[in-house]
Amino acid sequence: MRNLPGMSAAPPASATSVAARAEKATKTYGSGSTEVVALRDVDAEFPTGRFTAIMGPSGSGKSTLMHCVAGLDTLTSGKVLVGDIDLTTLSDKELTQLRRDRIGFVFQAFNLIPTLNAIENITLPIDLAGRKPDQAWVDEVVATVGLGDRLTHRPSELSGGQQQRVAVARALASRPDIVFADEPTGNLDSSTSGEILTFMRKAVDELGQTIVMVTHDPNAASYAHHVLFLEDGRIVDEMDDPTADRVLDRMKRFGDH
Amino acid sequence: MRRVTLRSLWEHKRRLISTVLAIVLGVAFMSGTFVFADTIDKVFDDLFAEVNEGIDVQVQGEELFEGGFGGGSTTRKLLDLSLVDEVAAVDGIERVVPFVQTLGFGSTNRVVGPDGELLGSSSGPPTLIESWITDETLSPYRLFDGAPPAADDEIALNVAAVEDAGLSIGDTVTVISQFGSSEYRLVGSFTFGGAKSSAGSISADFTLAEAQRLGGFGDQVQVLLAAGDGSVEDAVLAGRVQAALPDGYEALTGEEAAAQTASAVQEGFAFFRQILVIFGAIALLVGTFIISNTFSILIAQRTRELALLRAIGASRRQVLTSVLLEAAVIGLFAAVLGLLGGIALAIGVTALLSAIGADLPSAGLVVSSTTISIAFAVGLGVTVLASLLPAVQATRVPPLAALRDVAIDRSGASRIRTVAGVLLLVGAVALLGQAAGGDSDALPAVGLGALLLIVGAIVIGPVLAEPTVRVLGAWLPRLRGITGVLATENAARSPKRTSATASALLIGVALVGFITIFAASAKASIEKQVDTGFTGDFVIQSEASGFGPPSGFPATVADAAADAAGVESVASIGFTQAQITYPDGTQSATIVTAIDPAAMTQAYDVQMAEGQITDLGPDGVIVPLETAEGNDLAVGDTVDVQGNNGTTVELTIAAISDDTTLLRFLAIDLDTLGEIVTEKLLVRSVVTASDGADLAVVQADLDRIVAATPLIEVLDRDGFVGTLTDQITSFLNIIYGLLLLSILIALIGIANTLSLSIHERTRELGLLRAVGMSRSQLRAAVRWEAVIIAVLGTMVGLGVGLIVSWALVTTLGGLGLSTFAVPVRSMATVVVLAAVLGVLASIRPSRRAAKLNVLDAIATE
Repeated sequence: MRNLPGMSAAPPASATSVAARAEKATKTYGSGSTEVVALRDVDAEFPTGRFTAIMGPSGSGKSTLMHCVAGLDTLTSGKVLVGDIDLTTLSDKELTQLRRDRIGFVFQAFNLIPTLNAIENITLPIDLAGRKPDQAWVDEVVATVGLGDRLTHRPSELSGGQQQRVAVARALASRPDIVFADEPTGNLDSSTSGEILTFMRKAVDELGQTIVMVTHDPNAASYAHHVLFLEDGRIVDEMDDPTADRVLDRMKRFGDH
Repeated sequence: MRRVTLRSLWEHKRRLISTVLAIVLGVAFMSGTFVFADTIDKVFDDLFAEVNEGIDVQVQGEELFEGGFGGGSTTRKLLDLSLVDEVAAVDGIERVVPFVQTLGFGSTNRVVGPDGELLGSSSGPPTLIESWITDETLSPYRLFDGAPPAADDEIALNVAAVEDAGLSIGDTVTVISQFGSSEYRLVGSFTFGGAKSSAGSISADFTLAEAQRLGGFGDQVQVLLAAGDGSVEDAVLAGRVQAALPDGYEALTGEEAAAQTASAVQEGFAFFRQILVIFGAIALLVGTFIISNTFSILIAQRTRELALLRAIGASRRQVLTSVLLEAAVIGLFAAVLGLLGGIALAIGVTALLSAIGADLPSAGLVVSSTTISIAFAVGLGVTVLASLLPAVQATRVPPLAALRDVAIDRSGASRIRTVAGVLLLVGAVALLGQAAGGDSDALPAVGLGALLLIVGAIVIGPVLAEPTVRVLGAWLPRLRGITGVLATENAARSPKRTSATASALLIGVALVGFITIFAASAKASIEKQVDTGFTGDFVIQSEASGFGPPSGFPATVADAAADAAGVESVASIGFTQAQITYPDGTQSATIVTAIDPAAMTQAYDVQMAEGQITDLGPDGVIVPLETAEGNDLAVGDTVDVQGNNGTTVELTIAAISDDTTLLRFLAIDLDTLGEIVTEKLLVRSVVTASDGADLAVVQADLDRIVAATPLIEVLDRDGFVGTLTDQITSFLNIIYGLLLLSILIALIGIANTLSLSIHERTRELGLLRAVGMSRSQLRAAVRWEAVIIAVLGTMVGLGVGLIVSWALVTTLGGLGLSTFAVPVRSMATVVVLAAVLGVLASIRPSRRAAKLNVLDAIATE
């Protein structure tokens, strides 16, 4: 697969500027006649300090790509690197530690442990590691999220938007190398979605975080610095500084070829 | 609708297996008990029918009273040998053989091999001392090797005894009986029918004269066995013999005699069966909680499915029927498995008995229709009953719930529940409080109070579960960090579920706690009484008498002890089983002790309710307070006492005792005892050393004196207390063993609840794994949740046990339980054990949780 224009235009590859990268990533499910190929030789880079969106129609492999890069799933062949670490060489235990210490997650729904309150959920990965939280950083994240007096409430006492903000704060609290968000606004109304996405962009621009977001919503993608388009397990296009309209136009062309 | 039910059952078949396990175990225990007991019954029926086959008529003395020493359940009048000729003279009788037999349980009779090794065991099947039946058709035995005993110093043993001890013909063996020990030459071995032993017993056969001496029968015998010439039927022959007998004797056909012997043995087993059934019922009660809880959880998890059914038109009745049908299918399944398990259990127990030497002649397992009906009634009944409440819950699911997110039921503290729980507990406290008076009349109230306390604790459980779990788990976060927080929160999140799971454990543990504390109090009471009342220095008595009747020793041992240097006095206690006739005409068979009043006061400060020990004369009797109250007796009343030689004496009540160690039974003068028994035996001699005597020297002297009489030992004060409390300890161990089943089922309940909860929390666990919880952390969280639930059930159970045992001990204060003792170390051990068992219960669910695939978990819709 040839290097796409956007990729080659990126600054010369160096370990410090790329938070995570996939090389010739291939993922197949099943075998023989029932074989389904989810990813075909995908090369992708997620630069540090950038907000990248992955877009594509359902079944395009966008979630699989994210799961594999985030260490939740394993590749059939190829390589995934987070920082300098090759995920394909790690054991389950090491992958768990990597997710705990270097990766943040925001899912579409059911992001929070119902028995823990908001602040306990936010510090969960740090507590799991048995470390002391970087209090100044946690305070800063919490202040940015703006939960105020609701920090000791349980998830069931929070609105959908508040729950997702807690989830984002949790993803950021351990100051991870990279945050993966899987349709983080899929269950929210448009104004709440806007709040969350603005907050995520702010985390990248102001706090220097790296975020990769899977979405099928052109509006959500417009908050990113950069968009990767996937179809049939391949990266078919990418776009810098997207707007909702341009993304929508690009999306309309899927299935044409 | 029925198809929906059965499909859903099939879908969850793996879950069902763990659900039914609780009921299967209970049913297996129950039906196993029945199969085993029925098999034993049949074994003895067959056995005695077989061995009595050649006997046409049996002559025996009429029954004197129920109960008797040496294992027989009835004491009968003995026969004079002169009757042999009288019976032989009856028309149609061909041969007559006299027979005596003593069954020695415990240490009464023992055979010792040439190298000093004891044959058999003191807790196993008995050793029988019998006269060899010289007529082959009348004997149950067949000579296997050698010759029958012909001289008084000859013995024949059953083949198993000879083989197990590696004896050979010509060896010298020692036989110990209550009259001391003698040496015999082994002349032969024999089989019992075709078996090497009769149900594991050791049969030691002697000449008639020697067996009479060893059994204390004097010149008399127990039965005459007769064979007819075949000219008339047995019944006619028995009638003729009966007509020829003087009053006080009876003639039975061989068949009647076999049935009588078999039923006597079976009666003993009937009691054993009742005890096992009671513990089986407790286990099933615990199982009921678990099934009910499981159904509640399954229905909560199926809320959507049920709501959908309701939305598309299923009526409440249909939903109810559907759930009950599901329960019925499970119950049926459990009953079948339980019955099979019970049969396997019975086979196992039989094999085990055979392995320890108690070989039962094979009669084939008896699986009666009663056993099958009970297994099905119990399995089906318990399961359907347990599912009733959850089924009603299911009918309350509104159709709209199909459209909503399924919420976990966090409720627990409904007002009705709180009020009912508090009322029950207040009632329990009020009833148990009556114990404070120390009056044994409050016993029924205390019993009811105990029941209310357990029910109240279970009812109020869900209200208190959450706060209690938080208190119990408060230290966990400090130890285990976020894992501890999650464990505590998970245990607290559905109080009803946690409480129901803990309740199952509560029942078993409450019984364990109660028994433990009650036994500790009984021990402490005995120790205190010996401390304050026992002024002697040594006690001579038979070794480890266990649960059987105490074995005696001849008075010559006490006489020798009295003559030893440094001995001030010896107070001996004799004993026998006798029939008492009270002034109002009621009769009872009881143990009667016999004392020397003057010597007794020196050695022992007996607690008296009225009068003094020294008030006892040759025509007097001291009765225990309990007996006096129960039969409205007062000092000056007279009672008739009939001993095993058939003599009846009229005795006047001289005093009333209130003692739990040495004078628990009716006490008469030692000389009076001699009048009513065939052989005067002592059960205990209390030795008091003279002032300034070296106790070690005195003990060494006494040891030398008793050495001639094997199985009799000399105990110092501590050893004496030990023998009094040892029985409590062995009793305690048996109860613990039986309660183990209930506790095992409760643990299955914990494992089951956790498995179901984990299934419910799949997404949550997936999320935890995604954000970096390691498998071992996840396992730890599940493990600690199990520990919290187990400890919760155990602590409440122990609390209930503590309160109930306090009430009972206080109520029975008048009956000698003077001290309430709480064995703190035992209780702490129980709590620690519960925690360990909680860990064991969590193994499977925690593994399942850890194995969860992260992607599957977070993808679950």
